[in-house]
Amino acid sequence: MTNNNKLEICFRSNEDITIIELIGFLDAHTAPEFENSLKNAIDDGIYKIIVNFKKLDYISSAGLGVLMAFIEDIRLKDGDIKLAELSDKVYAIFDLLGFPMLFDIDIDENISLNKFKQQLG
Amino acid sequence: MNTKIRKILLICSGILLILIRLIGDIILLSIDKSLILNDNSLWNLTTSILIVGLAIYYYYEESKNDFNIKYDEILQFFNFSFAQATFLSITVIAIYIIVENFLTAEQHISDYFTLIIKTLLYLYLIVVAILNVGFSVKWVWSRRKKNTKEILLVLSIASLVLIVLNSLNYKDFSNQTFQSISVFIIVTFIMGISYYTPMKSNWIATLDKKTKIRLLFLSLINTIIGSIIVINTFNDTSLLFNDLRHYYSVASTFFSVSYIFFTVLNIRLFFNILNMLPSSTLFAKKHQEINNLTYLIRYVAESINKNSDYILTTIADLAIRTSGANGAWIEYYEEDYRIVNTFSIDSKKIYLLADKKLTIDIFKNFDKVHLVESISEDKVFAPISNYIPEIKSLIIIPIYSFDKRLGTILIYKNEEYALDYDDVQVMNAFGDNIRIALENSELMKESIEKEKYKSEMLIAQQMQTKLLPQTLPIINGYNCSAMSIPATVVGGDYYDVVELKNGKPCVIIGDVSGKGISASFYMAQLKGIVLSKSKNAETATELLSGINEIIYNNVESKMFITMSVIVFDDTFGNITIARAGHLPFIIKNNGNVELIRPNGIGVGLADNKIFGKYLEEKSLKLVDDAAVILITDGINELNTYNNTDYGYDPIINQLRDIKNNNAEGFIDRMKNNLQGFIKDELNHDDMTVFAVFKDRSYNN
Repeated sequence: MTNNNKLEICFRSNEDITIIELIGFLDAHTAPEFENSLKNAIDDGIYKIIVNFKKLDYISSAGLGVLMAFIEDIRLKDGDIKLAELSDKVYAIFDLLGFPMLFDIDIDENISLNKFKQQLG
Repeated sequence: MNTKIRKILLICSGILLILIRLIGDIILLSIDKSLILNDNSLWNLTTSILIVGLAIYYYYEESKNDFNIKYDEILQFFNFSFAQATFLSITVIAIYIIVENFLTAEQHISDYFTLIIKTLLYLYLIVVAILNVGFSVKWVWSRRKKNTKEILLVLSIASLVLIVLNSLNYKDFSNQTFQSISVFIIVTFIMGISYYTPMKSNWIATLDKKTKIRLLFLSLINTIIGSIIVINTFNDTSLLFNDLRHYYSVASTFFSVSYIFFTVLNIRLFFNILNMLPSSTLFAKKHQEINNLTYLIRYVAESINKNSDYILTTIADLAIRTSGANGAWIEYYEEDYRIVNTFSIDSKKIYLLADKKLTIDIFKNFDKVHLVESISEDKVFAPISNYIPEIKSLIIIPIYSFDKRLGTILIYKNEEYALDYDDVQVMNAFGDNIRIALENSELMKESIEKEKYKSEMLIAQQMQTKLLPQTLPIINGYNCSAMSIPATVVGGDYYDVVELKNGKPCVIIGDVSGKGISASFYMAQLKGIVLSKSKNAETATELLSGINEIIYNNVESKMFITMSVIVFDDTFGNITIARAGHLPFIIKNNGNVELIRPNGIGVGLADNKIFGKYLEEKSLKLVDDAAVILITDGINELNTYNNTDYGYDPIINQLRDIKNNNAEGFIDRMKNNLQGFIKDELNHDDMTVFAVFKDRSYNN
């Protein structure tokens, strides 16, 4: 948990679904970057978001807070934030907080994609 | 002896001596006229030695405190004493002219009247000689160097030798020619040594031109008069000095020596001033520069709490005075372009230049002090003369602070080629000092801010410490202890022991998301919410739901709190636990240690409908040596020195090992154990441990 830990954020699109891939550390220092990315996406009218945690090594409470900040707005607009491919360690933290009761958490990004698409059809 | 009495005694003995001498002379004169000037050497020698010696001693006693003239008093000393010495020399010359022209060779001391007149004249010459020597010695002494003292001693010995030689002259003890040669050698020696007496002449350099010319004139007069007097003291045909030599032999030589010394010093002064005269203006300028630079350095040291505008204005003002510039202005580029100040020029004109794009970008190109000798002949700067014709030559002084270009000081003259590279050198020093002053004031500002921040944080820390219980209330059947270490000065961890509506004691632990000030802010709010909600709740779930209701609806959505609650149903080990997203309970019961994790979502993550749906209560019966440990994630996620998480194992192990079932003892062990694991003192999360141990005496 040193200050050198960086967060890299990658964007991908699949039809109208945006996939945000987080790489590295999501803590109090890097949370604002993630928050801005999400905010920009929503401002651009993107309401279907999958966050891929495959390459995320660590998440702190500040990082979790970012997800909470937007979920309500996005759901009001018939969108959702789905979480995919969490490592065991990251999942444990989500699980402890009760996130599985609040978010769709899938072991594979494609499952999340399909959920969005089925919703579409 | 009292100085006043000694002084009176000295004067009385002087007068007595003179009277004795006069009476003796009168007696001699009445016996034989020739005796008084010829065969009276012993009488003459003894009395003149006594009179001159006494006079010198008296003078020394009177003015021995005046010999150390301070550096800045030398001019004052010269103004008075030099003029006085010149005046005395003129009177001597006047007496000389009168005596030479109005007395004939026959009018040697031949009657009582001439005897008295001449005695008075000669006494006057002795006084002049003493004042002369006094003045000269004071002059040399005040500007003395390493060997001056020794040289003055040599000079005195040479003078004594000369006095002895001259006295012998009239006794025909030795060969006349040998005598003359010896006298000549010694006089030359005295002259030489006087000229080369080590003394400082640098004070002359600091004088202004007017003073130098006055001193030059005075020293020239003194040199001419002194030379005439010295030459005539050795001239056998001079009535005045020849008589003096015969009549007051020692006084005569003393008089000669005094004038040799005085004249030589004047010659020396004359040439010194002459040497330094042409450089007067330049020197005056340099002197002014040094003064200004000294002031500048002092100012820089004192400017530590001044703002940048004030510093720039003061230094620019000094720069104008140092360079003799006609005007100046200061441009500042931070935030927006602005003119900080102008000197002898309308700022509107400068803004006009800026509008015409003739300032900022051009000046910014110069990162060192730059001289424009002629604006009109300079390709880049020529357009300036279209708008402000009075700017003919210009120096550009860039202003930096911490390598950041802040602005420029421009000083100008309304004459081409009037500023030169000397000025550039000096302005370089100004530029450097401005930088130091600005950086100093910047650092000062920062340290004040930091100090302020520090003390505010300290207050916040004190306030927060008070939010956590100072002493834990007693829960019958249990003993409790806790520790909490914030990540920064303040933190977001919370624990408390409250009483529910039905009187049941309740332990609460909470961890506000994030850390630092924002977390501590919410933690303070949480304390209030817990206190008010506990009064209306009867169970753990009621309490947590009540807290969630307020937090979810009132606090920004990205903030949440994980909490755990233990409600003590009785004093015999029956407890109920509930968890809202918090870390599992670490429970020791029946000799086993296990992590227990009832379901529950973090406080503030969902509305009460969902929150309540998932919130689970668990009831437990604690038996012998049981304990419940609550921690926050700063503990188990603590990054240890071997780069692994602290985890639960050390806590579980300690819980297994502990024998006396004492919560305080357990917390102490935890503290020690944690100390050994903390790798980075500055980088950890808030850490809290709350320990509840069941008392053995309450087993049933």
